[in-house]
Formats: sequence, structure tokens, C-alpha cells
Amino acid sequence: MVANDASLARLMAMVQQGDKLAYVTLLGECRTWLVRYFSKRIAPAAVDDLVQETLISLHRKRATYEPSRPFLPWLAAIARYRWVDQLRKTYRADETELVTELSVLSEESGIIARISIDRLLEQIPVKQSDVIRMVKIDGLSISEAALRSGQSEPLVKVNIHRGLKKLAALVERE
Amino acid sequence: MVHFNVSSLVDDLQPVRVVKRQDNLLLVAGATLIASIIVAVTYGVRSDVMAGNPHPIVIIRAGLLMLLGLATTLAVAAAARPSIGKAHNGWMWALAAAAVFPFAALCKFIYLFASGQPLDLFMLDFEYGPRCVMISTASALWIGSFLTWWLRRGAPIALNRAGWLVGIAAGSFGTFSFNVYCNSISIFYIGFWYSLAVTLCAIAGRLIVPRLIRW
Repeated sequence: MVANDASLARLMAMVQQGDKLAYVTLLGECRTWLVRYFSKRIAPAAVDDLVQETLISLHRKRATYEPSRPFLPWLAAIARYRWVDQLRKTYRADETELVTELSVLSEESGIIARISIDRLLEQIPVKQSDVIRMVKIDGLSISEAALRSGQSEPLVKVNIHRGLKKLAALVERE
Repeated sequence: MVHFNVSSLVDDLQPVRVVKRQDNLLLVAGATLIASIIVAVTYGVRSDVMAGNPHPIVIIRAGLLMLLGLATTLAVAAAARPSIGKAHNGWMWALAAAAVFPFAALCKFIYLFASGQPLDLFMLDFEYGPRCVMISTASALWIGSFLTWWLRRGAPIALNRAGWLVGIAAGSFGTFSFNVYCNSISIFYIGFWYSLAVTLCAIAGRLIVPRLIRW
């Protein structure tokens, strides 16, 4: 059970004053929250690294938290930033490799709903969102996606590349 | 299950001072003041400003530039703190207000063109104008470097947006510092050269700043 936002905010305020005991508790709670958060967005094998990177970012940027504000939107923003960063690295490294699994979200909290991949996919051209869904979510091969979508294989690759780039930009902008 | 040892982070924990937007405002105000003093000492100050009775258009343009700079600086301060669900788009209204000058210049231009009257391009002053842009952008570079340095201490999550904001803020205050010296009160001149200076700074901010603030 993850602590509520008010408790986390109090812990973070204590952390900013150097309270190490509060920090141990806070990191544990954040780790649990982040595992749940990333599990809905990326392949299970990538969750550990992303949680670790986000906790390090939390540590480095802890001075940017304003104690009078809610804590979880702050943490979610950092987590999303790290996620988008990984998304960029993924499509830069190999645009056709299935590394990032963009899973469809079911029940979401208010914060998480804002970054629902479904909602993001609605904001890019259909020909791009279709092939991203087919290849990155449903797991079809490029040739299968080409056959089903009526696009040529090179065009499917181009549309996945462009679509992922737009998705990254959309997530950053929101 | 994550097997990440958090003890290294805990061991490294030190008290921190919360990043405050007041620090950002003070920094930019100080940089703008210094830029204005340098411009005044190097090039001089308008005689009506020195006499304490500036032309109304000088007050209006200074006010709009100050408003735009302040609004975008506050948006930069907000951008340094990660959050979801807060838009901080108030600066767009200030930008719209500042756009009155180029809009008025365009309307006047269209009227003169449509009515067949001679276009008084002299009012654009192509000798003096480029210097206006040069001084404004040099001041903006100085002010923008402080803004960027401050933003690096924060955790901006929308890097491109932050780049635009830094560029517009620096461009507005940089042009403001030039404004105390600028002799022209022509709507063409202000609408064209001032807008050009702020636009160039905004583009430079978008192109340069994001790569400097990535974390």
C-alpha cells in the first residue's frame, strides 16, 4: 500500500532538510509507486532500470520540489520525463526493434490518465497510429503490418519512426 | 521486483535549499539593470527620458516589453519545477499584447499600399535598425545566459517550450534595455525592428537552450 500524497509531501519536506530516515521511507514508497507506474508502460525487463534512473533523478532534483504542492504530480512528471527520454533513445537506436512495449492502459488514476498512450495515439495521423498499434502493441511483424494496413514495408517503418517521434513530442508538451 | 540499493542515495543526502522563483526574478532583474546601464553609458539615454518626461509611445513599448519579459520569466520559473496538469500559459496574453506593435505597423502598411500613397520606408530606418537588433540581442544573450544557468539548477521537463520561453524573456528584457536609448518613436520602426529582435532571440532560445538544460 503506497502512502497518500500528503504523507509523501511531508516526507519529502523532511528529506529536503536532510532527514535520512525519512529518505529511506520515501524512496521505498516511491519505488513501489514507480514500479506500478512503469509496469503499465514499458516491457517488464526495462522497469528496473527506469525506476533506478528515476530515483536518481529524484535525488539530484530534490530541490525543485515545492513543499506546499502535491508530491505525486512532481514525481509523475520526473518519471514521465525519464520514460520519454528512454522512448527517444529507443527509436534512435533502432526504429524497427521492439524494445518499448506500449501497452494499452485500463483503469487509470487522474494523473496517469493524462498520459494514456491511447489518448496520445489519437493525436497523431491514423496511418501512423495504426502501424504503431500493430507492430509495437499487437506484436505483428513489419510485413504483416504492411499487408494489413495496405502500406508498403518501407512506409510502415517510416510511419512508425515518425509516429514515435511525434508521441515523444506530445508527451513532452502535455 | 526491483533490486536497487538505495543506501548510496541516502548516504549522499544533504539538506537542500528549495529552488524559488524569486531567485530567478531577482537574477533577471539584476542582469537587465546592468545591461540597461551599459547601454546608457555606451550609447546614451533619450533626452525625454533624461528629462523625466518620456514620449507616451516610449512608455507603452517599455511597459509591453517589461510585461512580456516578466510573464515569460515567471513561466520559466514554473518550467524549472516538474509538475503535471499546470499549463502556465499566461505569458501568451502578454505576447499577444506585445504583438499590437507589429500588427499596427502592418495595418498602416496595408492602408498606405492600398490607398496608393507612397510607402515611407525611411521610417523603418535601415541604417539605425540593424544596430537596434544587434544591441538588443547582445543584451539578450547576457540576460539569457543567466536564465539558462538558473534553469539548469531546476528540472525542466518540456525542453523545447523552456527554450522558447528563455528566448522570448531574454529578447524582451534585452530590447527593453535598448529602449532607453532608442530615438525612434515610429510605429513602423518599433513594429519591425523590435519584433525582429525578440523573434530572433526566441528562435535562438529554441535552438540553443534545450541542449543546455537536458538532464
